[in-house]
Amino acid sequence: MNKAKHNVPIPENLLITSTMVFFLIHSMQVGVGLLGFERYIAMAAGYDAWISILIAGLVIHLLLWMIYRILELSGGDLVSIHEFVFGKYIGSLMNMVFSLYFLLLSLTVLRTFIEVIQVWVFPQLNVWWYALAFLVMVYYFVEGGLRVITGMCLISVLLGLPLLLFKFFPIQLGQVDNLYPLIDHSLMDLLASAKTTTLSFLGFELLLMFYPFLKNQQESKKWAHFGAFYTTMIYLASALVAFVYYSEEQLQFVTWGTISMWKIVDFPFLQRFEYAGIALWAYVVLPNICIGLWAASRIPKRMFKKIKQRYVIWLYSLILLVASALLETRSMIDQLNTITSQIGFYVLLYIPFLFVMMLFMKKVMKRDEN
Amino acid sequence: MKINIALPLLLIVSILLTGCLPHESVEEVALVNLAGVDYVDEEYKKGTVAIHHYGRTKEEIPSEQYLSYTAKSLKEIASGLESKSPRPIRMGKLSFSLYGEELARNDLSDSIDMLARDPHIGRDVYLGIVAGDTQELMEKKYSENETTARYLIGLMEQNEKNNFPTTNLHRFLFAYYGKGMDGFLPYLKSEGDEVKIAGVALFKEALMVDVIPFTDVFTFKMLIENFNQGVQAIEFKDKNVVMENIGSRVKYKLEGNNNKPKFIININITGIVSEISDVGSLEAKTLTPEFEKEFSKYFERNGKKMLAKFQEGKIDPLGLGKILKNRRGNFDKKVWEQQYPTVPIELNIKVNIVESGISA
Repeated sequence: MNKAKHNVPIPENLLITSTMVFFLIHSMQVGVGLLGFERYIAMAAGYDAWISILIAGLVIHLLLWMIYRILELSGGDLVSIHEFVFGKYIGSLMNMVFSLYFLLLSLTVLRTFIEVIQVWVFPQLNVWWYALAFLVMVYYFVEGGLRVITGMCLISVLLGLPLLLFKFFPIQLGQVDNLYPLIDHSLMDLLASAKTTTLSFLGFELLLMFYPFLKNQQESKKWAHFGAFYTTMIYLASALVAFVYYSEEQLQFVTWGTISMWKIVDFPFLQRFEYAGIALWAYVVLPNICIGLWAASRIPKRMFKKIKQRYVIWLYSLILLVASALLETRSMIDQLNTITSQIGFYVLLYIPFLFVMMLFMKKVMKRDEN
Repeated sequence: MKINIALPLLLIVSILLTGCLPHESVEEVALVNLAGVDYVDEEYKKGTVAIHHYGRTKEEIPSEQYLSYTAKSLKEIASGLESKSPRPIRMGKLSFSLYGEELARNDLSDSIDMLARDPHIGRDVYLGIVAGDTQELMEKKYSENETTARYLIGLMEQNEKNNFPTTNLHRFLFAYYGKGMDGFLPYLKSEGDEVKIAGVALFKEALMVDVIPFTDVFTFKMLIENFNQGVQAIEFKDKNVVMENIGSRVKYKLEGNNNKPKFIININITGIVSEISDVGSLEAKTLTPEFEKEFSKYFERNGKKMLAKFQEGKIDPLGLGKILKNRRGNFDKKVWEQQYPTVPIELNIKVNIVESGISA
């Protein structure tokens, strides 16, 4: 194997343990999507959409396996893979596309989260200032490098866990009848609905960027699959709870299913739980934006030896800031989500393509060697 | 190096930004606990809110202030009410929303939409229909040491544990938006210095169409949900017999297909006889089977009458359409609506009386 050629050497002190892949993958997948995906997936397949989540989950595992194969064959990261498969020019172009795509993921999460705050808590919120404050924080983490971000991921997963307990309140009012009849939709409907879950599951492909940072790459496979599985289970549980709590037609009137479900949570000392939930959600969103920005800024750094990653982060943060201030209305943000979801879907389609190309190139190289 | 720039900046930003949004403390806003909307004429509505005044000391009895305003839309009413209030009105603590019967019989959809849309309003808010004028009902003082809002919530919470089915905004929206079911709300009436739950107001989408009187509410609740409280009295050989429910279980069965559905409602109720006038207890023991028969006969007769009324009025508070949809699939709302008035519904009620009190 000509591993050395594509290998990306990372100093030992910057590596992360393989277990942490679980947190990296999971926290990148769960973002603002979880707050309101129920309505979108139920549009195509109604209340059979939970099956679509399982279908999507399976596909994600398959793609994850492909990504690992690609990475093992090349021994590098996305940048070196692209250069290996497509050559210098097309490879660089693809790299830049991916860099912008990762930035788009960050932007979607950031802007959608700000929208949640605007709608639910502070209608008068100045997007510009809030984005600035948030990005300063994001910058602080991204500057610290992947290890710091990974730590943040760990904290965010732990902080997000108790929120799952509050599903108990809507379950009390739930009517399991809603889920029946079990399979009332065609396979096409189920697949269409599985496609709409794309946005919720996006994020695991960032493995293509942080793979060289893993200490024990072979062992990390297991944890990456665990992470994806855990995400699937969380989406499944959230969808099932939403489906028993809302009637099918009612759900179409609910923009943020999960936040609206927090409304029924009632404590003697806390009447409105959703405010606490939204505030906690900032911790779930933060690593999401961080990983996106980190991966986006790492690509130029890897491509051009002279550019320092910090300058790229500055530039990208500025883009995020301006872009989120320019997106003003619900319909624009909705469109942003739809576009990101679409592009994300194509990125997922691109992975098998890359996989095939990789296998093909390896074959060609072997033949040439002979 | 990195921390040198980022950390101070982070601190400065977080300190300076805290003042950027208008924030209000509890003392500076008027918190609405109770709101009511009345029908004035086809165009105008009258909105009334009860604002809680928190006392300065613990001992001070809480008081309420009432404001009302007439306008065309609810948002106009809201801004009109502001013009009468020294402090900004906030609906975040709304816990009971009342509607006049006349309004409910005309159209409630925009009022419901407003509640469903507002992120500040909880989903466990009680809704209620008032016989007559809501403002009149709200402005009466029912208790020396409680506000009207608190009093009405207590009234509902207490009754939901007993004879009254559980209702709140979420449950109403569930049925209102859902296919194959209709919502219902408590029907309140003020009499003299008192307020009482006079029954259940039945809805066809956003229109109130009928009322179940309070005497029949127990039967209605039996059809709707499982519960283990509540009391029902019947006449037995010209005497009163009262049964206390300790466990009522309802099960819906569906036979036939989409074209010819048949519903079977099985109810098992376990009870204790708690009041028998003029019947000796020795006699009472031997009479238990007869009581059981008599109670189930009463419930079945009552229930069937109720079901016939629902079918006649084309309302479906039991959600039979939803059951058909969930169990058979391929639900067509139009076909169902035509079927519903004539669909066969069988009602079997089994009463099991296990005890008759401690005095012999």
